[in-house]
Amino acid sequence: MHGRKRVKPTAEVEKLRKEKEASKIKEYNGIVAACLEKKNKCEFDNEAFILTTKILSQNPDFYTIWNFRRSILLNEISEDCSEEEKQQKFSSELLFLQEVFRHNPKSYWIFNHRQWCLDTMPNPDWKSELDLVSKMLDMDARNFHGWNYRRYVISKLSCIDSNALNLSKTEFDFTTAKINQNFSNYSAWHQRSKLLPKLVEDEQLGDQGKKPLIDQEIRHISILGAYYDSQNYQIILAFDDEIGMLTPFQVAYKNDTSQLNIVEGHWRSVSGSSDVDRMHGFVWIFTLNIESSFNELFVTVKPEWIVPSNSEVKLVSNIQMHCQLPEQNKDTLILMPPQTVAENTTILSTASRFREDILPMTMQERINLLKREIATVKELQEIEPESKWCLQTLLILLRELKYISELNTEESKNIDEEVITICDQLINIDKIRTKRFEDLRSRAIFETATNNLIQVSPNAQQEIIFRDNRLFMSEKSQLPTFTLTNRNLTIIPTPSILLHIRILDLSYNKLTSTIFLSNLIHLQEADFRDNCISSINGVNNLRFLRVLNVQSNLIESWEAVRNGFVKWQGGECKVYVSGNSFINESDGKKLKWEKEMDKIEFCY
Amino acid sequence: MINFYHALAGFSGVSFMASTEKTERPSELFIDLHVKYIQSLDTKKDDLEYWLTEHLRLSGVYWGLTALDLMNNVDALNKEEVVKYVVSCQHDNGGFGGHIGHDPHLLYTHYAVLILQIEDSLDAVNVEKIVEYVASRQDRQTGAFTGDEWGEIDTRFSYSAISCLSLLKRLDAIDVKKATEFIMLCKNFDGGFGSTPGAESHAAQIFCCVGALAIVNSLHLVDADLLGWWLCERQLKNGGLNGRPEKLEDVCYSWWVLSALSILGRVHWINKEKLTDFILTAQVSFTHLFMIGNFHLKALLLTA
Repeated sequence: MHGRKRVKPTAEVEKLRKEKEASKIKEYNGIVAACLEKKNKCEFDNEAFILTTKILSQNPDFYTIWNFRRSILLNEISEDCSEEEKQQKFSSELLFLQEVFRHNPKSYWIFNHRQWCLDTMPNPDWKSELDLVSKMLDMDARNFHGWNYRRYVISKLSCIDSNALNLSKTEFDFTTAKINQNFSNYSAWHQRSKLLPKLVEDEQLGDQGKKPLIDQEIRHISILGAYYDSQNYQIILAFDDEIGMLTPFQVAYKNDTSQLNIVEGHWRSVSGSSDVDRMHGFVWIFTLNIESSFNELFVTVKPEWIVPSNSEVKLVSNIQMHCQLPEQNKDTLILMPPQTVAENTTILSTASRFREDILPMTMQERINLLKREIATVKELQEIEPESKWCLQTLLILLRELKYISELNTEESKNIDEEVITICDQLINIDKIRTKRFEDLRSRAIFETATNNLIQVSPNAQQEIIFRDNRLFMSEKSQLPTFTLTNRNLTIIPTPSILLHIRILDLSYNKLTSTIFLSNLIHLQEADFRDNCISSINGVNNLRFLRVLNVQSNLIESWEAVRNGFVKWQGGECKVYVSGNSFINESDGKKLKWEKEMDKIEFCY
Repeated sequence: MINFYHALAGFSGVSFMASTEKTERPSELFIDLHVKYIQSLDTKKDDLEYWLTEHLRLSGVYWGLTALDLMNNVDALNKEEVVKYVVSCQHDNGGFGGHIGHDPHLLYTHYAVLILQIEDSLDAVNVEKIVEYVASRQDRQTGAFTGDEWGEIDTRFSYSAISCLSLLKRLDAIDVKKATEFIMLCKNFDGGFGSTPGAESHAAQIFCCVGALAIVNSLHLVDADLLGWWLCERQLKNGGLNGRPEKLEDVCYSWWVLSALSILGRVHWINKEKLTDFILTAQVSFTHLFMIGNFHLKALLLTA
């Protein structure tokens, strides 16, 4: 059905075709009507069976008829029927299916029926099925129905064949053969990706020694700290890496009888511009539902649904954290570094893409492997400089290396710079996917710039002073600033790391949206001059925002500006707007402006 | 391990050029023609193909109707007739068949609910029975969904069930956590999803799994950067999208791939102009039965 070209036939040809088909249609509809009538009357006889054969030979997608055929067969074998007779019926059935399959190799229903036959018959011959599916895959090595069927047959064989490892190995060799026939057989490569872990697992059955080693070496994610904002009834948790979360944390307080009472509320991440990006973050805020203040709160982390972004995860243990406010000054918040928190501060173990179930290696072995792979791919790349796949592979490897090894700032920066160079090359080679490479480049740039932006010295307590409704990170920088201009940034990948920033300068970039600003609640000034922004978003709950510069962007209407300030929660704010095409319209006056928006002053 | 990367190197740009005729490229969507085409679909009774595809009738109504809806032309199909037809496909157990007299199946049950939602006529059917039927399709051990009593399992059915119950606001009727667990078993090395655990990534299955995860608020389980990459590599030199590596492009993949990318917030990773060109040209060059209008329009809407 796919990719069929439509050719407009002549009237003459059309007429002939219709005449020919008219009799076919009459015959087909006749058989179908007769068959469905028997079905409705539950007449599971041979006549009905023959009707189903006629219909399905012509139209194997008519699933209702397959259902009826199965009912007929079940009815036949439920009566006095010997095992031999049953076997015979199903063997014939399998032959019939082969016939139909020849003309319709991609019908779900044919495979369903075949599986049903094999599951129902007394003595299915799995080896012969394996031969059959091998032939199918010879005819079409990418037929995913075939590959699915093959997996089904193998799983049946492995039940009766006690030598499971041998079967995995044979299958692995099958994929090798297929790849040698056609290097680009993605289906074979995919199958291989499923077999490799099994092979390792099977081979590891005797070797328990390596497992504890791997557990030890796995990188941990730490909670940088937690603090309680009594003004806003919020708990704020900061991690040293992005995690995804779906309410696995439990917040409770102790009442007079020292019993833990759960506090109701909801979690959100300080993050991104799309639904999926908001599922990840460095910083998570829990807003309590009730307006009470507590001296202490207990936060328990449960091992469910917490995942680091873009990685597999295993939770090590439950964690309990304790957020305490000092008696004397309720307005003083303390960011507690991991050591002063409860015993198990590392809450997650994370395996990188080099999962230990693929290769049982220590972290150092993995790092060495990565470096070797990088060198090999670079060699390839020298031979094929125009190969985008070499370059994209390098991107993956470099990112992996950065992620799993404890690099110092210099090494980390070097990798980021190499990533940027590769992205520039890719933009030239693969012009269709430019925007993705621009995003990847922006990520590398942003990561370099924000490396160590949130720091915790393991030995000292870092204080956050909460005074006059404001948050101060340390004595030195009273107004934390972040600047990253003129870097062709298209996205801000992890905005949550900017939570404490007061003054933000992202001018002269290629950002298309300001929505990542939402939840950066301490922002006072934001500069987006000379970007590609088409509407204002994500600013309406930034209570302390006093200056927003969107000069020389791509805003085309007053509405795109106005909508950004609906339910404006802040005070007076100056918005610089010159250099956008909308300012030539005077229609702004005609829009409905809410009372709160009176505090916004548009400057030119 | 090196072989893995060689493989990636091997999936190079041996993209097949679409066999488009050298027609002039239309610069607009021929909305009137598409509306008329959809209206004409039920009149092709002298085509054998019409009769051979009876089991798809209900899905055909959905694809036609939703395309019309996008073109602000829902009334081009008579609402009463549509609702009457849908109702006549329902069985006593709550499930709907692909056509009158055809056995109930989860796929068509989902289509039925989608159509009734568009026509604002859910009160025409026994909703509770539908919920019962859909819920009964879940295997509570594995979380997976069977298509019907004959037991085929596929993540398409997970999506059909979750989407259907979500529209009826009755997700409480199934074990969402288990359903999610099963979907995650179908995740592959490339970030994509297949029909069953172990199955190869395919754009349509990816749409189903990502869509289902989005509905139940579990998108954080998707590796958006990795999957987004796989998805944007579906775009070929002629601007069209294929369904998996080394395969030919087709307009239906515009929908499966684009909507998945859109949910993942990475639709800009596809080249919008080239895809639009391809789709508009496909108006005259290719056919894909009644699905063409819907896929065109949905895809164009996403790239707008």
